[in-house]
Amino acid sequence: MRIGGPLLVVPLVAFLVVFLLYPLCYLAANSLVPGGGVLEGRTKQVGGWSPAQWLQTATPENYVKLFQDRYYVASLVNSVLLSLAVAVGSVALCVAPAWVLVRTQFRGKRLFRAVLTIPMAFSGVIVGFMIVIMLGRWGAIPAFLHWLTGEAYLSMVAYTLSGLVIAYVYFEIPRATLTLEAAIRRFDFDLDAAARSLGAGLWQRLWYVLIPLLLPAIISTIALAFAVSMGSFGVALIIAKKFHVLPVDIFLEITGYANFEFASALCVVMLAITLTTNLYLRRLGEKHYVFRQR
Amino acid sequence: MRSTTSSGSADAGVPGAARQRPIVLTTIGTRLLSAAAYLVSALLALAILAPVAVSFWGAMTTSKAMGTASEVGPGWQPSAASGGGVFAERTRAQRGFFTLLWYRYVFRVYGRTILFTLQLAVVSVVLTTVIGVAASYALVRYRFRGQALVEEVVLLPMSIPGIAVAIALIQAHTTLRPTWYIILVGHLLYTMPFMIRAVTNTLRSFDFVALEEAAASLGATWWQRMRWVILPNLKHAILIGSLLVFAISLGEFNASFLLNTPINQTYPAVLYDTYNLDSFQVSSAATTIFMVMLFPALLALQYVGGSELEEASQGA
Repeated sequence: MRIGGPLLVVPLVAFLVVFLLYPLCYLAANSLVPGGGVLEGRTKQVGGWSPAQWLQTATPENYVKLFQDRYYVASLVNSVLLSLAVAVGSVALCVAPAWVLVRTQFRGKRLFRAVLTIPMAFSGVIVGFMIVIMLGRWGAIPAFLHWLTGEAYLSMVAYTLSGLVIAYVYFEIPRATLTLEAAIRRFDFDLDAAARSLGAGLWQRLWYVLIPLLLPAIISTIALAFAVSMGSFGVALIIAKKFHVLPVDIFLEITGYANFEFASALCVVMLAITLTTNLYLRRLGEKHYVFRQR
Repeated sequence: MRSTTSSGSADAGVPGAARQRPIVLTTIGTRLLSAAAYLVSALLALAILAPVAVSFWGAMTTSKAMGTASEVGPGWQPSAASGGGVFAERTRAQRGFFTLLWYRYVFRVYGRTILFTLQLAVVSVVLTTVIGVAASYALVRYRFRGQALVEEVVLLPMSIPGIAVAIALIQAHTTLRPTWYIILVGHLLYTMPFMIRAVTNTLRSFDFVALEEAAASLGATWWQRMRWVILPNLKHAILIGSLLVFAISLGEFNASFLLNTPINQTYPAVLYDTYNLDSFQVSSAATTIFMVMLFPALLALQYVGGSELEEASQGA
């Protein structure tokens, strides 16, 4: 058989099987092994079981422990609520720049877009640092307000829940803006004009024409923002001092207790949440395709 | 078309106004909405730029200028500062306003990491290009079993948390753990979707099969068709994909933080260290160095990008 043809996909498939699917299966399997960890004095070499041993010892022990422990349930709920707030908030905010980028022409538009895409390649830690220097104990904004009014308002906001939300939204701006921009660009503005010629008012046009047609994009933006916020732990690692979220718990489980089995169980729960949410939202988005716009 | 029956029509009574110009449907409501959109956009841009400016400022000023506690602590002895080098210089009292000391310090202490991160990004670009372009071509050109599944699985890392992938990789590939290849694998997993998206979008946008058949009818071999027909058409997509891969690889933290070994660390892990352990000025200098590495790639993306960028970087 000649080189080329569908065989060109083989390197990619091999890579994905070896380095993505196999590790994820291993993770799932390992989450069913009784927890080790230094606290229980059961440290052992990672991956020290054979399939036969695994069949004998597999128990849902880690999951039972996870869902009975109020600490982990709380951080699960925290993570989900935080991600939801961030997803909805970032979409609500980023409709504006997306709209401006599609509907108006001005000098420096590319620069404006470049500025909006800056946080795309930032890691979470940088965003955490930035919110600390802006809204920390003596951040730039409290210092400015102190100079202005004599009172350091907004000091320490960085370490509260709203600080966490602000930081995560900052992180989502480029992703949300670019997705919404692509959707608005595909929107056929003749439909808007048609609705208008039939006598529809501004709110009617927004509510019955624009929003239904943009809904798939809005939903997919929410799905992405949700997945990214669930998993991004750089920000939380820097500023979530009073507030614990799931990725940080997983990190501490590994670095603090070397409890790989329990951390695997936490990872599986997190994966289950992100993947089902993503799948559900994608279904929802497809259902809301009023008609394909091309 | 011109009937402005909506709430608060502003230009209803001027029939001659829209004589030559295209009809612009503006009302007070739409004006208010677009004003709000402008305001929010400007505020977002400001919110993005302000922390960048603050860390840039912090990186070049002395502790004295910042009005913060001096780098020279209570236990400082004059003898400690008698030696040379940035370490000794750091403990000396700072008199001036501006300084390059913090940059020198970061380069001195973490210079190796910067080189490693750049190297990792370049290797990621090369490998995603080779594997990604070949796979994209096969995915768009041919129909085969499991095709949809492959496309789904490639995009999977975009929606699964990096820390989960890192823990899975550590446990499943213990032999790779001490090497830097495991960091590379993590970066490839998270950058591959961008390359594949950029290239498949371009391939789907024109009828390259017809071009190929035309070339084949003139007697071009498979390699000649690739070299002279397909790849030249993909140049732009590969450039966009490479820039995206480079930028994402530079900033990748979620997966690589747990994959890092003590010897091979990526630069975002260094940033984390400076935020935790070092002064505001050193942290700012480290952050500014990161941005200086990143910004050329982002600007280049905007200038070569356009609408393809939107498609390719969705979910970045």
